[in-house]
Amino acid sequence: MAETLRRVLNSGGAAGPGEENTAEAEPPLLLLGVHGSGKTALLFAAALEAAGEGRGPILFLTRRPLQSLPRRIGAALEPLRLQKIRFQYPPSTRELLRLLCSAHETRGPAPSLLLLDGLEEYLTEDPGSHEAAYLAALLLDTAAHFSHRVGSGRGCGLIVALQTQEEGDSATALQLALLQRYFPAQCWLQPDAPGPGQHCLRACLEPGGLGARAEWRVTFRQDGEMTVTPWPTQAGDTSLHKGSSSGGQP
Amino acid sequence: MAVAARALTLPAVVEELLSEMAAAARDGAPIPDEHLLSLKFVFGSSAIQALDLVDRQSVTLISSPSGRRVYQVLGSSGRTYVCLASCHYCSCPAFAFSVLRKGDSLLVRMGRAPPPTAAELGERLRALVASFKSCTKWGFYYMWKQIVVSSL
Repeated sequence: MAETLRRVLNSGGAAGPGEENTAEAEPPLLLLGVHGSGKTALLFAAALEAAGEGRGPILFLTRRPLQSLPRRIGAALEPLRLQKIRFQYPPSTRELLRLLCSAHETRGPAPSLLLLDGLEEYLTEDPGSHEAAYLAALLLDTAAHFSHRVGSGRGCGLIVALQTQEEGDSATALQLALLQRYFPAQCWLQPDAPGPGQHCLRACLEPGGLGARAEWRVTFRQDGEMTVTPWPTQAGDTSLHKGSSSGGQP
Repeated sequence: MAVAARALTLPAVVEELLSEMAAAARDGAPIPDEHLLSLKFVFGSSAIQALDLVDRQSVTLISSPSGRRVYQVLGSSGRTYVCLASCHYCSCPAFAFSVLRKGDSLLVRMGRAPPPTAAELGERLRALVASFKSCTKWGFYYMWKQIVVSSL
């Protein structure tokens, strides 16, 4: 789902015409960052972006209901898109596994995007066990099944957010490496130096072989508004980028 | 059908090899020796184990009317394991050890893809074995298995 995320980040959060619609399915993407690095907000933005594409519903899985819906530019369009997002809150790993394993029994249109926020909350056993691989593989298998039901086109995408530790041990590093084998595309969110009243992050997208690596600066204002600008390049020619003004996008 | 990206599917060369073998089996033609030896070269001991699974008819494909499928493999210990069809995963301890624990994979010479599980190979080869009984290479196959197994 790197392209969907790229569209979200490129357009600075506003709904805009995407780049050429890829006809094939995009690889699953892992969204990584420490606590409070904006993963949920970005995941939700991707959900809204995908909801505007006129395809199937969006399935958003998370342990706990979102306290507040992350806000972004283009709020006027949100109510219509929000209706297309289906939230489910599996309370335990077992319930999540059950949900994924019985995904083929659900009626209705197949989702066009499957999102999971907070994978780390479902990995309760020690990092060395089978559980992470099983969960990752099942997520892929569920998305593959939805793609099969959708039929032609881009099928069903998959984005999973995982909270990382600032200083992890070798076991969690191994678990992360394992998960990365199942998710070829990754997007890292790293806290950046904060501005006045702002919370800044650096988003680094690695599409895993399809497309170029790219970086953005994601800024959260105090009122929760999120703006995205391309990360300044080495040459510092920020003035040439069309989205460089942090005051918001049209 | 699968959403899995390149890194999670068998390398193209192996896909081609297995397709050729399956096509030969469907036509009723004998499997060329080079193919069997290539299989052994690429997969190492996994190839032998996979062929054993096929011999014992331990691989079952379970499919639902929705189109979702999963493999069930009966191990030598009598336990059954689950193997997914759309990506590389098997619940058996061998997969956990060789694929998950180790940093590299058995297929390191082919690239960074994790090796296919024995069940995946078993499913592919099931089409072949059905015609093996009438295949003139059947005797050679057994002989080859003996040679290879004793050399491990």
